[in-house]
Amino acid sequence: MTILKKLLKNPTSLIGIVILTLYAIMAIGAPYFAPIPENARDPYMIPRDGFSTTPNPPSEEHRFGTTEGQYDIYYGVVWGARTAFRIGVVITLITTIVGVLIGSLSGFYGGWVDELLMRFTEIFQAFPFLLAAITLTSVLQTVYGRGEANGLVFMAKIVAFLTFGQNPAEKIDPVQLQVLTGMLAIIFFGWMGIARVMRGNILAVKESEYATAAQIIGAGNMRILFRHLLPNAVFPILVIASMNIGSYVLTFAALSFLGLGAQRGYADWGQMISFARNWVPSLGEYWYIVVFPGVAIVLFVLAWNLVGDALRDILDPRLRGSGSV
Amino acid sequence: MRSKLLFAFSLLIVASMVLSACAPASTPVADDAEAPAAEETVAEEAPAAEEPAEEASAPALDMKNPDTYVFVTFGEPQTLDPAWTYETTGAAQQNNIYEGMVWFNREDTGSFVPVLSTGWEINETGDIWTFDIREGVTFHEGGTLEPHDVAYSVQRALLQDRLDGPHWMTLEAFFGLYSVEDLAIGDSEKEFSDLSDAELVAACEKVKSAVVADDEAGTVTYNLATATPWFLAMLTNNFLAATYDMEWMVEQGAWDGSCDNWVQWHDPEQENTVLFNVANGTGPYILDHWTPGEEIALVANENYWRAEGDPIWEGGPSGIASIKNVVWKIVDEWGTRQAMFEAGDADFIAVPSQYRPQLEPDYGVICDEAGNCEDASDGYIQAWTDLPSLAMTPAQFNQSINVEGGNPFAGSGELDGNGIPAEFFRDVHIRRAFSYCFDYEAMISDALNGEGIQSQGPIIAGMLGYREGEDPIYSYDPAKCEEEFKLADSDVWETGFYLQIAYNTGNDTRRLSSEILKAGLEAVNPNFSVQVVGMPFAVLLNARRAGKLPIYVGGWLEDFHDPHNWAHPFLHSQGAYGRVVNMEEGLAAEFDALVEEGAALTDTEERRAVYEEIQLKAQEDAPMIWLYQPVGRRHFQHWIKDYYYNPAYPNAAYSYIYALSKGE
Amino acid sequence: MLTYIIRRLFILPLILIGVTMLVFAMLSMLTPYERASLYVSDIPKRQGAIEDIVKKYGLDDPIHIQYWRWMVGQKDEVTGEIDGGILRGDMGFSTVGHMPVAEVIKHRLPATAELALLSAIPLIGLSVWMGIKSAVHHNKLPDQILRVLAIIGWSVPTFVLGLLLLMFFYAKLDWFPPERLSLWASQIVQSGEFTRYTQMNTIDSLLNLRFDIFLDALRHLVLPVITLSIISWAFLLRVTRSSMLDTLRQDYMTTARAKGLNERRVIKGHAVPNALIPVITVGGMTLIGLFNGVVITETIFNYPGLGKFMAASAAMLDVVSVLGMTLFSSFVLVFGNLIVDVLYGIVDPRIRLD
Repeated sequence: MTILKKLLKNPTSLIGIVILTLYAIMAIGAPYFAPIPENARDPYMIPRDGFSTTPNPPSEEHRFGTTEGQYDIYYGVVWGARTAFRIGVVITLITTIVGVLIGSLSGFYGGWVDELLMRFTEIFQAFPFLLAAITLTSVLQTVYGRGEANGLVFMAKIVAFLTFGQNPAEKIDPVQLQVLTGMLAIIFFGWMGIARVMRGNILAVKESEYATAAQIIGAGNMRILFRHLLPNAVFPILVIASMNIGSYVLTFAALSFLGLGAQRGYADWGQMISFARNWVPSLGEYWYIVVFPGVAIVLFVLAWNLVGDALRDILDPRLRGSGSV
Repeated sequence: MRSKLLFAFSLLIVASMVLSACAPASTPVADDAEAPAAEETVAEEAPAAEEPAEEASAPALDMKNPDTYVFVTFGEPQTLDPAWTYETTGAAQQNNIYEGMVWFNREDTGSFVPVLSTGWEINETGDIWTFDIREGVTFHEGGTLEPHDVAYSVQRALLQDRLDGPHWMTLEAFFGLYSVEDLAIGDSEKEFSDLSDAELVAACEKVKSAVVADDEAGTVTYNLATATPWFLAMLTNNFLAATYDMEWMVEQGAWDGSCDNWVQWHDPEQENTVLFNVANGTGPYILDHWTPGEEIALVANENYWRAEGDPIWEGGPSGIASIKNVVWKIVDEWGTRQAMFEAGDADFIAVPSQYRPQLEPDYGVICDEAGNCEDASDGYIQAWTDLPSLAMTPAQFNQSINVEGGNPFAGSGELDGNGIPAEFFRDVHIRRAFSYCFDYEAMISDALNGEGIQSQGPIIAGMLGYREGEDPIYSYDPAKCEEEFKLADSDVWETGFYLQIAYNTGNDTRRLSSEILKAGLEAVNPNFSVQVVGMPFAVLLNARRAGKLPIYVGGWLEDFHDPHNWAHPFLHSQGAYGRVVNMEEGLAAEFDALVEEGAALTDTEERRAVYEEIQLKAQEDAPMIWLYQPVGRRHFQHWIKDYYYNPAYPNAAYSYIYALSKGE
Repeated sequence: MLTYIIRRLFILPLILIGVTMLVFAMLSMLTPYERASLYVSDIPKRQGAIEDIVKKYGLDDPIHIQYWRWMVGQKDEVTGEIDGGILRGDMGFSTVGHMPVAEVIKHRLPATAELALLSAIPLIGLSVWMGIKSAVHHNKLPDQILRVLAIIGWSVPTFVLGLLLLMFFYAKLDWFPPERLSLWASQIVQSGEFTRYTQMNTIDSLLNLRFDIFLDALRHLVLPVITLSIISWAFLLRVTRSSMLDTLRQDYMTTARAKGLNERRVIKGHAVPNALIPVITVGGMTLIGLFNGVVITETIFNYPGLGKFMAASAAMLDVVSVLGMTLFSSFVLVFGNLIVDVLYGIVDPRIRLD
């Protein structure tokens, strides 16, 4: 509670929180701000007005204009807020859990467990991230396209459940599938940072008084880990996580931009911006196809970073004002 | 103090970002209040938008590279080996470097002029063709053309064959089967790799006896399996026609002409043939260099055999090529190509149809298919418009979908509103209903910017068998679509259905056709649901191989100019597409009989009747939705002269640069 | 120190093997028929063609056999020649790049290196200078402006920034075009009269005394350099700032001030050198990280470097190319990190490497 109070008092984080609240209102109230057309099968598919490739400027009917393929930009920007929240939060949640788990095991047990897990982490880190993500997305799209049941589908169903509240007993919607593959690729190659920080924190805390004291009174290993070490090492993780939400949204947008994230026509900011690639020499004329979704994504990420920055100041008074990484 | 400043500053930044974008985007609350602001922006933008057009329609610049033809496009060859090549980019290069027995008579796709031959004879049954080989022809590297070079070139091509290569059709013409491996295997029921040396030698001997050279008499004889009316058309293709110098080839390490070890050179990877990135032909241009990812450069052959005053066709080019240098530049981004064109750096650019409107204000001269040109403005572009291409795109129904083990494309696999049963498309009324529910108009006017013709069956406009003057049976007609759905045997109208149409990401025609079909079907009945999904090509290939796709949008680009190359692939049960659409047996037999009849006849009028019948039946029975035949445009600088449009060239603006010239 | 280096060098090949195995593991999720798609441009016209391709390239062999084949090469049954094999120094033929993978790297690396180096020099200089300014004027106006700018820079996606820059400086003003060179310049560069010593246009043009080409090359590099460096700039600025702040609070600074040295000399002589120690590590890592960032930047600006090739080969599932590029970039990453670590140890002997 006090943390929240402090966040609200701090002007930068206040701006961040205000922007995020507006985005939240936009996301929750999406059907109100941008009503779903009557015959729509999936509210996340942006309604289109014809099939012509040339974008059309903002008009009464299309407030922000239409992109290539006559997708309504306004609708996409509004519903894209939902997509952004879902993607950012779910990826952060999963990578944080995985990272904390691996990092704490590694830091706590040390020895060969540490050695093994850290080499494993290094291998994932040595992989150039975008190359890895693109490869994995292409592979996953192919595997899921087959529509057979296997372990990967199980994984996708978990993510689908967390992201869309999709009933795991049902088949995965093919339109959502592409969003899921992009998310899974980021999750696979996104947990290492947290794992390393967590391990470092655990090592630091382990040498401190809590641990020594706990060992003296004879608490079991797991007990020490969960009761004493975790809470003391977890705060920095919170900071990183809040900053990560923004950067995961960026990464997913980059995948979409390369044509590997969300399906064409899906309400996702990165996907909408990808249309601009074909119109680079005439962007002066068709500015609206990059500016509206572009501003939406920049403000969204900026808000998370403002909050994360302030959160760091509050949670780690030693670093107050220093903006250390 | 610090906090306030920081606060004010960040507020300022955020505010300016919001304002600079005129974006009520991030704050939906402000929507209504901000709406006029958005309109103002439009008003401001409008004059700015016209600026480039004004600038550009200024008279064209002076000719920048008088000796060079700069051709700017995307894509590059897989290899420069003609025998391996089965795509137009490589073939277009080879058209300038290599020559064969015959070539098209200017823009006429149906008549041919001799090139490396001086004439030919056909026996009565139409299966033995004898060519007189021209004398005094030299190769780029110095050798002299002899009949055995021609025979060697064909034999090498056939023996090399390759997976997924073009030789299924040449081997069909020579032996009635589709690969050299099948020729070697014969009736032995062995695997190719298990064949004995003797069996391999026998196969090679068969190939050798199919093309026989007589150096004394100066002739080469092609012994075909049966009468092949389209043999000359096939002979314009590099994979069969390109003629190499046998002695030079052997020096480079190519097949030495012996039957003992030909398997060493059989089915190579693209990079493992000696002609991968070098060339030695007889043509008017010599390969200078190929830098993958950047450019391919050709230079004029100063020792070209064709004498001045001995034109290839009446009034055609002769002597050494008029344009001395050719550069094929690979520029993937459309914007850059456009900029190069405007600056006069490019003589030709590839223009995807969706961006054509951007060039229209600069059209200086507009020409049609036949070469009738008229001045439009003082713009710099010489535009050739309404050029029919020899390609067609249908949407194919799979009449027996594989639903085993779950098939996401067919949903539940049953007619329960959440899927379709395996034999959904066996019902002719459903196929017709789908054909009525496709908005051909929207496809052509919106998606193709007006540059397409609705098809009326497998045979394309202008070809033998096309029903001249007749409209296609189908048009976009929701009422008839509904009617046909109600006529169906099943109660599909009440239950509804669900299916997925997949396209490979990046393939825009496939995607657009699917999207328009989806829109048409879903508008006619709310119980109909079609999902259009973009996927990697691997998914499509795999799903199609397994017969899982209910509907597949797949275009056809002709291999040789004859209706057989259109009827057979689509409708014959052994055709490239025909064999995977699983037509119901009776219908398949009817089509097979017609297609075979058309191929067996040699009289043009008799063939016309058969192909017209095929064309009509293909609409009535609707095994596919016959979508459209694209109509193309070509954009040149105004100083490119002597251009003509031959749709059968692998690349209509690059394949025969010999005929072009540059001048103010 | 020496044991540390030896240990790292010992681990390096293990990591490279691990990385390549990871690629194989990912690709083994695909069926042989799906992987055959690389070798056909559309649905094959001949029946059975896909099955034959699978057989020819051994795509249906068990995955460990395919991995082994990639490591040691394959003997051609007919000719007896050994083809490929990474251990024999052959990275294989890239179907996407139309040449051997090693050639692709040789061919495209200079472009990417030029971009990365030109980004790194102003990036590191500018962010360190700003970071120091920011710390010295702690909590005053410059500090706050820079701090907010850093957060914003950190929040702007590369591709949005790149497109916006193109929109203004190319589409509207036509100052800074995409690609590497203008056509006239590239024609001169590719002609015989121009010697390409390094394949980096800026350096080559200076060596050839062609200042017009030098300017043209710079003109093309401005936007990609800005786009590529903006995120790293924000990051590095923050690191310098916090490191500088920490140093300024140290006891020896107070001592220095107490000795009566003026503030300028205290900062220049004592604070900056100490504050820069952690910056070396982060700066080095940033430079290596730029190699990662080039994928998007090169795609937007149609810049013919390794990044564009990476994106294309990964999207086409060209196994050989992806493996080659992974191996190459991982090597750069791991080896680069090692060098940075060692440098760090030399600059600051107090650091215990483990």
